[in-house]
Amino acid sequence: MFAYVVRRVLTTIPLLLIGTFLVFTLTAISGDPLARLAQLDVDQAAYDRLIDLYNLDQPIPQRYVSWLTSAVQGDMGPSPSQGGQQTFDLVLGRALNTARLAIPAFFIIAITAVTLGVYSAVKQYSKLDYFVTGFSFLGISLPTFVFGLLLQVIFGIWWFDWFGARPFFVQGMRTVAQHGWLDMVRAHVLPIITLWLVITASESRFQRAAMLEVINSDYIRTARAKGLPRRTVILKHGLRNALIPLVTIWAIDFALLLGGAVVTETIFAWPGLGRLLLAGIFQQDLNLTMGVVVFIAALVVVFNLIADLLYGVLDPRIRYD
Amino acid sequence: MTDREVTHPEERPPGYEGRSSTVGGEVPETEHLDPEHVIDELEGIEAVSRSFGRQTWDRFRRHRIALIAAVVLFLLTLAFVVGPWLSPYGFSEQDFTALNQGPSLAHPFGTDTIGRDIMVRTFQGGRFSLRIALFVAILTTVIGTIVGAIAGYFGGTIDALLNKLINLFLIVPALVILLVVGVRWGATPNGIALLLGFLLWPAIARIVRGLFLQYKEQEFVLAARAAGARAPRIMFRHILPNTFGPIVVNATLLVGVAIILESTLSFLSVGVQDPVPTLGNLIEKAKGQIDTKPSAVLIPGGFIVAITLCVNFLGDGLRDALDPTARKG
Amino acid sequence: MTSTTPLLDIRDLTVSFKTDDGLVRAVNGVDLQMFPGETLAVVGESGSGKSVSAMAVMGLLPSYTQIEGSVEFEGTDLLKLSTRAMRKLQGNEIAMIFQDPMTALNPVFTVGNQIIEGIRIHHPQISKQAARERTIELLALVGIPEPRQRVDNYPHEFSGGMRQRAMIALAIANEPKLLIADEPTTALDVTIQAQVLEVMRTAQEATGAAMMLITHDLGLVAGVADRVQVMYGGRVFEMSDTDTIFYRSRNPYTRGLMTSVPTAAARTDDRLSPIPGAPPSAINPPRGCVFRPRCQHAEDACYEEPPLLALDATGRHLSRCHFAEELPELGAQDELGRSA
Repeated sequence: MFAYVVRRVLTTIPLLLIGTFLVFTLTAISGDPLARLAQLDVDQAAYDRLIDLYNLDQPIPQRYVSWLTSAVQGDMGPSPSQGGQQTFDLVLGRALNTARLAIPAFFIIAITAVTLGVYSAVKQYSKLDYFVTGFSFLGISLPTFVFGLLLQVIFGIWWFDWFGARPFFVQGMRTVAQHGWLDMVRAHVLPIITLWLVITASESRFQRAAMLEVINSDYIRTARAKGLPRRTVILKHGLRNALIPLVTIWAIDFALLLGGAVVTETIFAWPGLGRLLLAGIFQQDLNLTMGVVVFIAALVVVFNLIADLLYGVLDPRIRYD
Repeated sequence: MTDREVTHPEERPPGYEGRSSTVGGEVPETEHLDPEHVIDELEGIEAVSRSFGRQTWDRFRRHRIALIAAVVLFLLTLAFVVGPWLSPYGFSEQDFTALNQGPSLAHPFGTDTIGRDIMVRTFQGGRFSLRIALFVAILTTVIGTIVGAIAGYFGGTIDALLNKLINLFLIVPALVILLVVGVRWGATPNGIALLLGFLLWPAIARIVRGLFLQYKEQEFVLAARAAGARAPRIMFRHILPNTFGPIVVNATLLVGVAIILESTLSFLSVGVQDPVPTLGNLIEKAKGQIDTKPSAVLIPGGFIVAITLCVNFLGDGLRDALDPTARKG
Repeated sequence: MTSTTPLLDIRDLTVSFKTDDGLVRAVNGVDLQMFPGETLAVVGESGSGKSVSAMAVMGLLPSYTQIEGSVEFEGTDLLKLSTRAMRKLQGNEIAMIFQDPMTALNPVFTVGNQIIEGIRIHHPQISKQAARERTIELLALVGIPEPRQRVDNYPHEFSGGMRQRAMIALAIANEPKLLIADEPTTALDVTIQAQVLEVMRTAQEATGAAMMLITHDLGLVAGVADRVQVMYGGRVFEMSDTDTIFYRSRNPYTRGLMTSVPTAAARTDDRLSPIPGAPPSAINPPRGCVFRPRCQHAEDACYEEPPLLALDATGRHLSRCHFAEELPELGAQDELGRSA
């Protein structure tokens, strides 16, 4: 098992190298930070110092190698667009803000998706099944930013027009320490609903398909023939099997949620990783962009590994050796 | 024994002959098989496919929502094509006497901050968005099918590379790459379409690869191979027609994915830039005024949802019609 | 046939499914009796309605099926029982062995736990430890080596034959009165088939259960069954004791089955000759006798009038054929067949 984990991590290293090099190169050639510097009114000495600090006069592969050399030592470099703060600290701070949305969203999504998927599979062709199918079609078809803006219009404008109050905040983050419990919750609700709809829609569809396949399997018939109650048949024998393929989906979704929701954070002015990434990209801040990308990549690798290990726990047919 | 009913072989019902010889009794001498003849026989399957087309249409027609979706999609496309042409305004034409107005008779959707008619911009935006999405779907399907077919049929290096690429896109999400490159190359409709096309094809390639992997071991392929048909002929004449259903379904669904991605990028100001309108950048322009003029956000948003909903329902209906084995229940 | 009161008494059972293409009548007025301890073979091609009848007895048909008639088990009509009451019988009084052992066991639970679960659901008073001991005994009974170790294995660690043995152990765990085996050996290697049949016989002896052996293979039936019921197109075509069916069959379909199955043909030293044509459509069955389109003996009467299931003079032999009495003797037909 330990050997498996080590081997898995080792095999992702080439992919990580290629991926970071790709993003590094693309970011580097997408914009010219020197042109931006030239627009600023800085003296020649400061200009030269900046070029020297970020190796801007060197070819891209060489810059990548020096970035990588520092990065593997834990030094992600300073972020010029954020006043020279350390990228590592910036990413970490913003990651915590993102996690405030991602963690509750993930659990709400997982629970609702499994519930909806299982119910609609068990009650195939019932009204509820059609409702869930319709819901997931809507969720898949509704771009996050349209849904988020719609929530803002409903709760920020219409609700205020009708009832003279706003039940939820439509902009910005609130913390318990600074604003108290109630305001913290009021600020979290809409972004979490936004994240919830789109991901739940696709996950519940997937869960439904997985559950349908399981329900029609021979071993479910065996379980019924044993005289087990319906609940036991569906939850113990059915769901246990239907969750196995969902583990991978969960891992990817959770990793991407923790990696920052660019759209949701933009709409609700949430100071998370997604907006940090956008800032890095728009201001051609290579260190910052790379910092966020490496963080996302690391999340995906780690969560995929967790998913693989969970697979082994859930499915005895899989062995790691 | 003489009076008993005797059944002579020639009196046996039709369809009887030849069957007994395969189960027991004497096996007839194998006829000489002409490879081309065998291939022609295999292609005789096409004669049956006319009734397959009929069945497909019947199944599709039964899927009422998909049919409605197809009609709505057609009407929307028509509106996007004809709308800007019928409108008295050009999509980048400014009217400085009517800045930032709400809906009125002259401007049913209102005007934007620099006096452009939002209605004509919405229809023109829909036209650009749809054009981009169609371009993406076609580009993606062509690249994805070719790579997937080669990877599935031959396996080996290309297959391994495809696998690595898919894993790579998992580690570095496509959206991140799109954001990084979109800033510079995504500003025009063709630019964004090319970017999306180059990033989305692995999804199709994976599906086609799976289908080829599955079909290449099937008997009609083995028979064609035994008859001496070459790989390209087997791939494109024998296997590809069988993968047609799933490919068409996924190409359709890709239109929806492309619309969502394009509008999302435009919304984040990474995609198509003003003055060229797309449904996404219209919303991006209007979101600052969402408090005072929510209609400018909701109308293009509604069009995006209408298109993606129709495309997804259409794709679902096509899946039922073209690929009846794909779904259970 | 140790007793005259039937354990299972199916009367006029009709099972239909609604499909896009119309109403499918999978079982059409079937009567079937089983007596305590006996073995009844239900034989027919796929689509003959044999498995659907068994599923109706087990209460495993999906809720959208229309079931008519009656299925009396020890005097109570199973079709009228509530799901809850039916559950008390499933796996307890009536148990089933399925065709494909590779998929019939849940892959994520150990074989032992699946059997223990089956015991404890009906006997909650039995402790886990006792149920486990019982399971080990059962595994030993069905011939699984080292049952004490094997009890903790997962299904994928068992071979196909072993899995079917485990399924048999599961089925007899609560000493059922009726054991339904639906094509229990079809999915297995030929070499394993005989062993599994032997295990089933052992299991039946150990529990005293009556066994309904559903199969398409008449050859399998000979040494095992007391009586044979032949089904075709959702109807009973012939029923009698095994010897009578084999040596004095009064039905063209049964005879066709016998000469088309390699093992049965070998037994009767006949040459193989498959039944021409395909089983009838359950949506639009042919007019008259459903077997008519494939029958060598068909005459005008078979086209006009569906034959009834009729008793012969002995009173122990049922056959559905207008010409049941006129058919040639089996031995004679043998020689004719060879000379033809």
